[in-house]
Amino acid sequence: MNEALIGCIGLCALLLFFLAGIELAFAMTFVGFVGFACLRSLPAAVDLLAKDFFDTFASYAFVVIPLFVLMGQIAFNSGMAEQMYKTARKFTGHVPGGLALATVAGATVFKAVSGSTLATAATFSSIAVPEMDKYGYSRKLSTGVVASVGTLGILLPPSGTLIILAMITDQSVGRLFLAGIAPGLLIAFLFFMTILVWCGISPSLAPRRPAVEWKERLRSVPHIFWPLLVFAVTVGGLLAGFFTPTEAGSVGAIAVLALTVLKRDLNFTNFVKSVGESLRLGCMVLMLVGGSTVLGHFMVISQIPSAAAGWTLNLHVHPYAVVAVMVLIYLLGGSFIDDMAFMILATPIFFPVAMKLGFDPMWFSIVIGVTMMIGVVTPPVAVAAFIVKNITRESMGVVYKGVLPFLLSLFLCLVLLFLFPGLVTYLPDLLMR
Amino acid sequence: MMGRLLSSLSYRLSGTMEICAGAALIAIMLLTGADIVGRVLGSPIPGTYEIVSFAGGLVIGLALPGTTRAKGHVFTDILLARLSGRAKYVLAVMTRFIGISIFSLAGYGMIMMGIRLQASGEVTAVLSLPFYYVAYALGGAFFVQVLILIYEAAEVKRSRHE
Repeated sequence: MNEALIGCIGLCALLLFFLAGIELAFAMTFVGFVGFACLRSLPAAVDLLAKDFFDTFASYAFVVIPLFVLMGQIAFNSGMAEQMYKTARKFTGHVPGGLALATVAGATVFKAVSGSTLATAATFSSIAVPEMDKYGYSRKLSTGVVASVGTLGILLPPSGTLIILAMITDQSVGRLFLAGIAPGLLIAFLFFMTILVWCGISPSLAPRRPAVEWKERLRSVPHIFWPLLVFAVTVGGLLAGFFTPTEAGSVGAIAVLALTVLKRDLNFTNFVKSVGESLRLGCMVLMLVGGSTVLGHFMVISQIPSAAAGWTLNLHVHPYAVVAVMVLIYLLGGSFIDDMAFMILATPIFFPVAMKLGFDPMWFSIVIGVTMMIGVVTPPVAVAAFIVKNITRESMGVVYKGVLPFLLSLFLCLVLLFLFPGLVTYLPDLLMR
Repeated sequence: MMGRLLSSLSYRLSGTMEICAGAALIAIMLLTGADIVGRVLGSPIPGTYEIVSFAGGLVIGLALPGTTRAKGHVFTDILLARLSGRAKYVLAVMTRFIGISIFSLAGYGMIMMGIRLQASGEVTAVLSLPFYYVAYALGGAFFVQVLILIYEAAEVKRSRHE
C-alpha cells in the first residue's frame, strides 16, 4: 500500500479514536506506533516508542514546562491576582467601564507571573465579577471581559503555549517570548478600546464609581511592583542570555515562592496543591508532546507533511490564503478538541508547509497563538467561557454576548498581523539578533 | 475482593509516585537556583544539566499514573455522550484496552532499552550517571500506568453490572 495512503488512514483513525473518547495523547501514540509498525516493523516501532518517550521525558529543555506551570500555580493559589486587581481598580475605577479596564490591566500584570489562560479566567471571575456586580455593571460586560482577559496568557511571556510552540518547532523560547510581547500588548490595548467604546455607546453598562485619592493609589503600587520585578528578572534574564529557559523557570518559581511566603500569602496546603497541579498539567502537556513525537515520526515516513507542502505549493494561490485556511483548520479543530492539544497535534504538519511558503517561523507561531486565543472563547469548546459560566453562574448566552466585542478585537489583531508582520518580528530582530 | 485490591494497589502506588515526582520537581527548582548562585560566585554545581534532565524524566514518568487516575489527560466525550448504555460500555472498555496495549509495549520497550544501555555501560559525560536508571524507572512507571488502566477497565465493567 502507498505510504501516503497509510498516513491518511492513520489520520482518519486518529480522529475516530479521539471521538471514541480515548485520551488524545494515547490516541496519537497508538496511531503513530501502529503506522510505524506497518511501514517499518514491529520491533522498530517498539524501539521508537521507548526512544521518543525517553527523549521527551528526560529532556533538559522540556523541564521548563512543569517549572513555569509551578510558578503560575503558586501565584494563582497565593491570591496575588486579587492584589493586582485592587491596585488597577484604584487607578481606573472612576472612568467609564473602569472596573472592566482594571480587570484587563490586572490580568495583564498577573500574566507576568502566570502562564495559564484558565487560571487567569477563573481567578478574575471570582475577584472582578462580584466587584462589578456591586457597582451595577452589566453581566454581559463583566463576564465577557473576564472570559477574554484569560486569553492574554497565550501571547504574553512567560507563556506556556509559546514555550511548547518553541519546543515543537525548534525555535528559541526567548525570541518567541519577545515576538509575543507587541501583539499581546496590542490585544490588551484593543480590549481597553473595546470597553471604552462599548461603555461610551451604552453608559448604563458600567456606572461610574467615585475616584480614589492619589495617596491611596500610590500606596497600592508595591502590590504590582514585586511581581513585575520577578517578571523582569525571570524573562529579562532569559532574554539577556543569562538563563536558559529551564533556569528562568526555576528562578521564577523560587522568586514567586519566596515572595508569597515572605508576604504570608501562601500556606503549606496551597503549596502542596500548587506542586500537585503542576505535576498533572506538566505531565498532560508532555504526554501530548511525546504522543505527537511518535505520531510525527510516522507522519515523516508516510511523507504526509512533504506531500502536503508540495501540494500546497502547486496550488498557485497566495501564501496568505493558505495560512488563512490553516487558521480556519486550527479554529475548527480547536472547536472539537482542546485548543492546546490540537495545536500540538497539527503544528508538526502545518509548520513545515508554512516554512516552505516562506513565512517567518515566529510570525507563524504568533498567528497560531492568536488563533488559539480566539479558539478558547469560541463555541462549542470555549473553555474560558465555560469556566466563567460555572463560577459566575451566568447563562452561556450572556457570556458569549459579552465575549463577542472582545472576539472582534482578536480578529482585528489577526488581520493586523497579516498586514504588518513586523509587529511580531521587529522586537526579536532588534534585541536578539 | 480483586477489585478492592486493584483499587488500593493502584491508589497507593500512584500516590507514592506522585509524592516522589513532587519532591523531584522541588529538587530541580532548588538545584537549578543553587547552580545559578554558584555560577555568579564562580563555582557552579557540576553536572546540574545531567541531574535536571534525569530528574525531569522522573517527574513526568512518576506523575503519569496519578494524572491518568485524576483524569488529567485531554479527551473528548462528544460521541460517548450520545451513545446508548451498551455501545458506551463497549467503547469505554475498548479505549482502555488501547491504552493498556500501548503502555505495555512502551514499558517493555523502555525496559529493553534499559538492558541495552546497561550492557553498553553508557553514562553521562560529567557525573558518569548511568542512563539505564531512568529507562528502568520510566519502564516501571509505564507498567503502573497499565495497572491504573486495568483498574479503570474493571471499574467500567463493575459500574455496568451495577
